[in-house]
Amino acid sequence: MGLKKQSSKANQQILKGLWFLMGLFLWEMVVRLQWVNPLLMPSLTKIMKKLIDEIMHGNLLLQAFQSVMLIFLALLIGLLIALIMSYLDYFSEIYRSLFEWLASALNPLPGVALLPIVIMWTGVGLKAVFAIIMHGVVWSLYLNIKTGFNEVDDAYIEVAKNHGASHWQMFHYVLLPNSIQATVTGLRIGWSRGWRALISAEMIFGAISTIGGVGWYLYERRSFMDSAGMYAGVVLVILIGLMVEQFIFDRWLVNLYDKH
Amino acid sequence: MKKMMVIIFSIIMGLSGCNNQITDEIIIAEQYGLAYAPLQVMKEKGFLEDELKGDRVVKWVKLANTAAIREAMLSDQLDIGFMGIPPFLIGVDQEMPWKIMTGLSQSPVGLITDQVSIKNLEDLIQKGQIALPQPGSIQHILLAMALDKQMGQSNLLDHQLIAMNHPEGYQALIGETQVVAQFTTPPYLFDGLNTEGIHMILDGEEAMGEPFTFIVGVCQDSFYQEEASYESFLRALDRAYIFMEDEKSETLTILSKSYGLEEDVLESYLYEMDMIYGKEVLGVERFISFMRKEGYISKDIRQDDVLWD
Repeated sequence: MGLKKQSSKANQQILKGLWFLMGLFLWEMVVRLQWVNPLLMPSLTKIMKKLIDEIMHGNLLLQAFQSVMLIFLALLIGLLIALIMSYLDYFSEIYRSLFEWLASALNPLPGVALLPIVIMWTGVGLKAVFAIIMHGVVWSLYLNIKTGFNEVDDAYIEVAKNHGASHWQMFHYVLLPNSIQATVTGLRIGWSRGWRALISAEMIFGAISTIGGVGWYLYERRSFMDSAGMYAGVVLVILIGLMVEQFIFDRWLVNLYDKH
Repeated sequence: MKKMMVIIFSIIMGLSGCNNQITDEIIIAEQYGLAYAPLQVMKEKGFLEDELKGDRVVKWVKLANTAAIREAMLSDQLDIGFMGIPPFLIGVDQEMPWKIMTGLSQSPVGLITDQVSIKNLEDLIQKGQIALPQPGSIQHILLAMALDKQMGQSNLLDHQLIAMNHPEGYQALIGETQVVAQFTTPPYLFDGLNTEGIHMILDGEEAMGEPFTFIVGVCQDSFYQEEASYESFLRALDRAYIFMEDEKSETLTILSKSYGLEEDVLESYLYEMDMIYGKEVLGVERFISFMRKEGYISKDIRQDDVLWD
């Protein structure tokens, strides 16, 4: 069974690789046969050249680093807030009703829809973008951690109760360790929502600091009609997404979970 | 129920690509501002429809910025677009197959601030954000020209720029935000200068060093080849200019509705504040040489290559 799983995983990787290569081949074919205006669809070599050039000589890597750091900071603060909310939710019916109501009202609301209001409160700048990312991050984390807490085996809860565990001890020794998987899922969703929020916010009102992030890069390239640059930015966004998924969520956090 | 059906139908049509340009439709894009006033008049008075003698349907669209106009034209969703000369040249440099068919207007344009302590460009360094429509816009290039002339470095303030359209930029300027200056055009420029505490620190013409056409009309070769429609548009534009001169009262009535301004305010803006409406195209050479020198464009472009006959 295990072997079958392993070989099926390997097959999946090969198949994904083949699809990827086929996509690249089709792209280049469409460009070379000039089926589409080259301003709409530049060649792969042009895009890669641009990406390398921007990384080596431009600010793109620095812009991407700023974007990723901003989201990680939001995830960290969001995680703390969500843990406090989940703690209060678990032990207090009053807080539960409040947070459930807030989550059901605000979680489906796209961050970009809040942008004009956030700008009124915080002005245009880093604070506004940060607020939008936090909105994308907190609700998914809270809902996932809450689900994790609720799914902890009753037997553990009973044992802890019988030993006279306090709320904090219950939270620290029982609820938290047994809901790491749900927390990781929350972080994963929070990351993708935060990433989307950041890029949209930057593309809507431009640079937010000295160099701006990847969203601003895309906006700027669009203004200068640099199609290859726009695609290069999108490629970088995809690469960062894949790397974070692969190294942070699939390996580091899952290892953390396995240790428990 | 009927309205809902119309909405559903239009969504389906939109998704299926049936909104693509059809041959008997002329689609014209404009942006917001007093510089586009002749187009408003042409639209309201139906001059183009009249010149076309019912041969084609005229559709007007208001797009947010020049990038959107370029993209719409590139995907054959647009026949005529109006924009500043610099973003047009950026398109030419990227081999966009378009040329200038006419000038539309010359307009005052200026960098304004509400900060008493800011009196010139040097005072702006590290002071806060500067709002302008987008990188590569005429405002951005004029700012770069002034910085080049006064400080010897055209991109000195680039890291302080924030892309905002004129209404939002103006709100940000007068509100409590990090935006301390805005490079803007009428009516926002005039509104701003009439407001206590707001003053201008850079005039567009001073930055350029000579008069220039603020907005030009451009089209691709495909529309240029449609001689009858092309000529009809230019004739309709001439009629709009003449109408604005001869029928001031009706012009003000039409435009006060479009711009939401009182007629007397609009009258002073249109006829007493250096707004010049005409087809002449000025400043192309100067923009080309500066943008080439500073790397905004990478090819040697000649003025003759960017104008239709």
